[in-house]
Amino acid sequence: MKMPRKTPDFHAFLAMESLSLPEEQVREMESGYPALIRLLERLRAKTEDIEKPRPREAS
Amino acid sequence: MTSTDRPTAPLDLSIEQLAVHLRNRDLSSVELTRLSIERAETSNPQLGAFITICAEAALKQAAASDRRLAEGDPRSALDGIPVALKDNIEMRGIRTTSNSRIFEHSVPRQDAEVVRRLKRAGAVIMGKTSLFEFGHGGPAWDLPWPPAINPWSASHLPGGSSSGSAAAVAARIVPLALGTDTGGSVRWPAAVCGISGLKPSYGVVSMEGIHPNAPSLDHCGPMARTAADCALALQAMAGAGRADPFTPRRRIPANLARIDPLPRPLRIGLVRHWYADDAHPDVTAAVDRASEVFEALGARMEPVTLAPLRDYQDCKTVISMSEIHAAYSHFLQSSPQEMGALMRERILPGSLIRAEDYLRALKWRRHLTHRMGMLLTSYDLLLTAGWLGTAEPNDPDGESTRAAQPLVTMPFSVTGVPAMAIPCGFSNAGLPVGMQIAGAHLSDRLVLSAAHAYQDATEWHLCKPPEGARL
Repeated sequence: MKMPRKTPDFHAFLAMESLSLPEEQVREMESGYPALIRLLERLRAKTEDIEKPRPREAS
Repeated sequence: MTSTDRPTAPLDLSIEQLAVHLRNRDLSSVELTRLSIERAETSNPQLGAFITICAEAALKQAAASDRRLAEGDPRSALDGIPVALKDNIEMRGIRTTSNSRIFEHSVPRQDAEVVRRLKRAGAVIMGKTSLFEFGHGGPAWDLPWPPAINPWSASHLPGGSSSGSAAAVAARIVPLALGTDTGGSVRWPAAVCGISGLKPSYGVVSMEGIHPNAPSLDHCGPMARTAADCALALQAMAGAGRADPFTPRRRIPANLARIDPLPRPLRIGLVRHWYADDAHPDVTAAVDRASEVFEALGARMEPVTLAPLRDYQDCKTVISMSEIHAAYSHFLQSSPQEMGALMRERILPGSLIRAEDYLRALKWRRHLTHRMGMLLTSYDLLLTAGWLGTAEPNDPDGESTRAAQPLVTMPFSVTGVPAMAIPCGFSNAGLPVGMQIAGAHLSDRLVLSAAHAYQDATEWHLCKPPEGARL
């Protein structure tokens, strides 16, 4: 599936998927979008520690 | 147990008790199944527990059970027992809708693996129960079937997503129903309907032939009035399917579901910080009292600390949003209006989660699982609340109380360990309250045994909804 890669954009996604949803539904989903971004930010912060790269020897 | 008397109210009996009556022939499976079907049909206009009642097929299965029982050759303790299936579990020749317009008229050609196993054990499948759309989008009032009602109060809902299964067991329509549980969908309704519900260890029950929610988190489990009945059901249900990519093909331990005496000393970690501050005060009090009961039974109770509920919930949300989007995005693209608004709203954001975030959530899950696993090397079991609130009001225009609450079922969903909700009291308003008992991966037997010991010492699981509220 095509997707905006770096900064997922709600309206760009709807357009790419050619989804024709009622306006009210679109507004509701759009209002939930900041919560999703906050959720992903929390996840990134939480996993920072366990994602530290393994030490490597200099090449 | 022996019995020679004809039971006066068979649907009030446990599977264990019914099996004795069926074997002694003072009750036939056809009689029992007919009672179950009649109660389902009579109550359904108000209770809404069933999407489909399969009277004809069930009575045929019951007659076959009676022939085996007459020959003294029952297949298992479930032989002749009426059972209901959540309507996302496929059964050959019977429509399986997932309460979605998309599958409203869909009739599978094959049984789900767990249905094959139940039929092999002689269970009589009498109906398909109501649920949130695809076990995810609910409670919602824009689906083909409205939400089921809580048998304890006509103005409250039974939780979900295995809503109808919990309502059917609580209302004494069936002694056993199957549910599915991705983030708490067996345990939440069990807790707020005053019944017992087990989410087995991940992979113990095959998900083949069950509509997916988030496959790496999906479980199928029994819902009954007692832990002992859940054990009988799990013994029949456990095992991999022939073409099941998500059920590990490892050997399921023999007697996985046997009820044993509790080991001594039994070390139980009380995860009080999950429910001390955020739960309804009546829930906190009831779970604290349950902890005292375990102490009186000889358990060593100690407070333990795990990650906050929010950590598990964030992790589960990212994984399940991604996976449910993968499972249903084609319907979202081809026929979005066929889905309920809530389902669309919950699926769509999954498309905005990138693979790197999904992988991050998987790593986080491994970390949380490891931490819980380490704790479970020092404790045999964990005890906490079954749900932080009581049943939600049945109000289509109301704000869901669930949205504001952390979900205490999530930790055991994310980590895949066995967890069971059982009743442990009532709120001051007369609504059931439940607790959860959880153990290490594949310690289902110990979880069931501990729940059974508690039920041996208490009577919460014997409480019946008042007739009026039962509809």
